[in-house]
Amino acid sequence: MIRLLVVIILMGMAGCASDAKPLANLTFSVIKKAPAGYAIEFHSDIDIDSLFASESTRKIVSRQLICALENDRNFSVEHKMARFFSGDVELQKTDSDNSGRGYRYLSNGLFYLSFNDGSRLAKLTEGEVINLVSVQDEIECKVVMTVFLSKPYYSAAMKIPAAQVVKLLRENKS
Amino acid sequence: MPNPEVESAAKRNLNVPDIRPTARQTCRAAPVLNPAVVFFIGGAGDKEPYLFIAGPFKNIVDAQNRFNMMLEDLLGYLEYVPVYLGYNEVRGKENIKLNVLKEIPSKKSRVYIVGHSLGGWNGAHLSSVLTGLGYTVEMLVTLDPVGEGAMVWSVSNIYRRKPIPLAKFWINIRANPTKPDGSDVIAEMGERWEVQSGPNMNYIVDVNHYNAKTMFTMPLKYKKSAAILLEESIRSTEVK
Repeated sequence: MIRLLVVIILMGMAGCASDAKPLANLTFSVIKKAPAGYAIEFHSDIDIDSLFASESTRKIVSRQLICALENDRNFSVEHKMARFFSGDVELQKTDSDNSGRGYRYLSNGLFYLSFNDGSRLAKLTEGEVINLVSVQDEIECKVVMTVFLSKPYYSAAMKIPAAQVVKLLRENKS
Repeated sequence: MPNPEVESAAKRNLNVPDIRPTARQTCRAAPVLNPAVVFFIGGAGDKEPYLFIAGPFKNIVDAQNRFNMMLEDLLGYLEYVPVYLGYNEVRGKENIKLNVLKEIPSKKSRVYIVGHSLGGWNGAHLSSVLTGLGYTVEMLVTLDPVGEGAMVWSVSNIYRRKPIPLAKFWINIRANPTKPDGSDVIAEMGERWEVQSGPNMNYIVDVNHYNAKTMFTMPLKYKKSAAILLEESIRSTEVK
């Protein structure tokens, strides 16, 4: 019973905590082939890592860069896009980056097809991604973080020129 | 409203060999028909909101994404099929038939289960159910399984009795952090499964309960993580 009380108090504290985190504005740098999948490099005007660093109850569970490959641009964690890019988000060394564009991140991930209400994933081939992307001018991406005992965090949308993606995928198409 | 394209693709991946020419297929005579099906089973608040904890937090998805990168060359070629389910979706005959059996092409398919928290508890039960039905569960990975408490049972769709897993290889990882957080308090409230015997590998690690990815990918025996051992198992029995 004491445990339950502690948990309820914890939940209450978490619920009352401010969710007003600053919006990260992202700038696309480059997309390149990685040993596994593809890597998207971008800059953020704020340190995404530090957003929840000082909080004891609210921990970042998952941090992904999600890119919509179709018109469905609902990035909500409760929604599953049918075709998307998803990759981890890792802060890169900042000492060698004097661009003044903020914090440099790399997202290494894959292009996915999801089905069965999001429970099944398959990898999209380069050809399939080219077909999807070549009819667009830009691909829209967001950093999406799930945070334990808190609401998810979404960055501002980042635009990637579709032509750059298509060019790279054509080079790597089998 | 189902998307016909997605439905078509789903059928393609489930039942129909992908016959498009690819680099891999140029050196393979026949498509693979009995893939390794890996069930990633999330705990409370993983795939859908849970009581006051809310969510979804997608703890096990982070672990799955990392694993997808490791098996990128097999993903989408019917050799490695990842399936993400909530703990409540694998309990009981109807749910297992609806969510699990339909994903396993045949009894020759190799089945793997990775479960976190309540997903570890129900996933361990799932291993014995599938084995009883004639499927081969190659490996079970339980990441800080929870479910011993009567209170959590009363408010969650989990089995009441303690699991008796049936898998060819079982890795159990129990979180025991030096700095417990809210997720550990909740895991304690649900009562962690104190596994005394049974697993081929049984580890206690200094990680918080919520962090399924770290538990799955951190070095264990001979510097190999559960993820690497799972990868090796899938690749060692890869059908040619």
